[in-house]
Amino acid sequence: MAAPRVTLGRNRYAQEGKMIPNTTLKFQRFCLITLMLVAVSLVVFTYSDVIAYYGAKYTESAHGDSTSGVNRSTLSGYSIGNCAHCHEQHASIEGSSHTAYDFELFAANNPTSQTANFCFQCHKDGSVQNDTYSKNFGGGTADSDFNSIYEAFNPPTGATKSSHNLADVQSHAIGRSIGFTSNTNACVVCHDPHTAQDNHPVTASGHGGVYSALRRPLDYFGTDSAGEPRNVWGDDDSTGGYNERMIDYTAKYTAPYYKGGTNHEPANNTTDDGSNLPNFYNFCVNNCHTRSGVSSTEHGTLTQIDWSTTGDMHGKHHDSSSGWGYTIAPYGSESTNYVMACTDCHEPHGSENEWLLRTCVNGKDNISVTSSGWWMDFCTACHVITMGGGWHQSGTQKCSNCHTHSWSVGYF
Amino acid sequence: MAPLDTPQAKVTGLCVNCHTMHNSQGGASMAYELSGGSFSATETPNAALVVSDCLGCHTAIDASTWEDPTTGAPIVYNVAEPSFNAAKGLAGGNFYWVKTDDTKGHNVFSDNPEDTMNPVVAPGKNPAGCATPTSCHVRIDNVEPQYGTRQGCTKCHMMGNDQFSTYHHADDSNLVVGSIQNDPDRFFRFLQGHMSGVGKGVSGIEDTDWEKSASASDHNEYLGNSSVSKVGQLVTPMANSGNTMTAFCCGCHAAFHEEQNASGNWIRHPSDTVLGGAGTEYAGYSTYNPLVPVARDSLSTVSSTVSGGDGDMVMCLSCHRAHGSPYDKMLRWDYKGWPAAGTNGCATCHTWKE
Repeated sequence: MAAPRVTLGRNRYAQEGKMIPNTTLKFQRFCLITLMLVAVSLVVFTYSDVIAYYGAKYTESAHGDSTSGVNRSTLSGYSIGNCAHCHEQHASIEGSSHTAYDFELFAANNPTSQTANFCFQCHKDGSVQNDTYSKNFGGGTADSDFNSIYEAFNPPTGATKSSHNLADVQSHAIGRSIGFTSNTNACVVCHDPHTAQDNHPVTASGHGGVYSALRRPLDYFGTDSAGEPRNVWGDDDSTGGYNERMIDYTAKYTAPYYKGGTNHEPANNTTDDGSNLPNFYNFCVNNCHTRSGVSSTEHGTLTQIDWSTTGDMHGKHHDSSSGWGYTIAPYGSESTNYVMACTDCHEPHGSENEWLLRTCVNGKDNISVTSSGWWMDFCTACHVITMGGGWHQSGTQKCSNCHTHSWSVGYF
Repeated sequence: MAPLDTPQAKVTGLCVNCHTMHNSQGGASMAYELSGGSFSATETPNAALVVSDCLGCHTAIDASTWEDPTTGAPIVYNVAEPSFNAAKGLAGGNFYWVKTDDTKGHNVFSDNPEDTMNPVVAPGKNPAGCATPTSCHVRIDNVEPQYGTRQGCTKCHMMGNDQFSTYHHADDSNLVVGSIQNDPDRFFRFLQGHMSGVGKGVSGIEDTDWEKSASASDHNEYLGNSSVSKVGQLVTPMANSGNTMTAFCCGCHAAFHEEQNASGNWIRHPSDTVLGGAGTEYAGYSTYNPLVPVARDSLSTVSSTVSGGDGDMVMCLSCHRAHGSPYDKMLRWDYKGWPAAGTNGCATCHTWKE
């Protein structure tokens, strides 16, 4: 029997008045179904690619790096980066047993402790050096008294020192009902210890963004179809659809100067468009600072951050009627609506200054807020305040009397 | 002589393969012993008139033998580093490494006492268990007076009050061995008794070549019991959780398996706990990997798949080889050397921790 022919369709046979062989009809149906399946698959997989992000690997993380990762000094023989440096499967190691702790950690988790958090087992007293954002990404002066995460959360110096309160962080995260519980270490709200990457010096991730230590709270239980919570925030370009970089949030972002010249943060190079900076706006407001009624132990009820075109001036709002703020380079163009990232002004963990204000901004170093609300030393990193006249010139009113986030008169 | 492909522990064949009536034939002793790295005849007869002891029958003085060519006994101690498969041992591992390093297995050698472990008691020792100096809870190479002169091997195998006289004659030809209490088949690999209760032991399916060769569809199967509480003091509930491998191990290591605190947090690694299903990283472990075996809540066949949704569980042997392995803490892979080198066996289950 001859092999069934591939035909173009029924009409040809009908026109010729011929019967359509069963084998041919079956083959036609087979081809059509196959084509449909291929088409559907293409759509599905193409869409999947669109919404996908890079699933970060532990071995690419700061903790899992085999040369610079976790390395508990009391252990011997374990590879750097090995799980055992944080976890003990049986609360017993090298012939020594001890109290068993949550998540098989080698010490108490203390999830909301500002001073005894498990992470401080390493991130304290210079065991692991983590300098301030101002120093690492702004070029500020190194401070040996302020170079660990512990010190950031417990600032040793500063008249108006401030920090994120870990109990507040955890409490708010729990309230968002996205998976966090009272057992969740507050640090985990913003960082996944298994994927957080060494973000300094700034390094291209290979996925369009940069190595990042961030994981959005919303992504704690995963955001893709597989539910994998491995989306490091800032390592992907815009193709994934998550807008993880500042440039993906807005084309109007311009990075401040890095101290000592006209290079820009965070990499001390000419890149100023936010393509090498995680989208801190989205990260910070994602589940926390865009909401009203966020409670802070240090600062009471926090102001809702509104970066929209009708919100804050440091956001997308471009209100020419209130002036341009007498900005200085690199923000010298009055026709440009500059949009800032949260970290352009704020330290992520803590600062010698109130409101976690940085000590080095736009090349201006050693900024000190010595009294609450008196931010002139800080604001003048980007604004020529005296040109505003009046109180701006006399300096008799503190900044906070008129300016704050989302205030109808003098919003940032 | 037993067929070489016998999957059972039951001995078949000529009695003389294992017994000698008078320890004398042709003017020579028929009993033999393992001495150092070789076998030698001995005029001292053995109990039950066997020609040798456990090590005598289950040892090969080379690297390549995995099954005794005469008796069909599985080789669990090669005097030279095992080379017959990638795992360098059968399913339970090999005692080769224990001979020189007590951290790599259970030291059952009476001529090589555990002298480097500190403390010498079983890690995770059952706090309610025996604490006399001769207890196996203290040192597995001890000789228990109540059990005569038996070696460390019989602290786990053939651990019944009726001694070991009938074990190798038990009919363990069932696909699932040790599925019922007081099972006449004497349980999986003759692992019986003790804390899991008189008449109880381990239930499992024995691979035909004890995993000398292993694949997704060619391996042992182990019984688990996920219903046992993981909270609080688990000496009694975990060790008495049925004919599971975990229950058996908990006879000595029970304290390792107080696994959850009152808040439900894992404070030690779970065992006999069902792997997470869809939406968790454990769902990524779907094709059975003999390097990381799981326990099942019931046994009927050898399965090539793993599914938390079907009740498959992590257990002691998911990470450890009972006899010994080339790796620290008798682990099934080089955990200690990872990630610089070694193997990330953890990622078999923890698929998001690549």
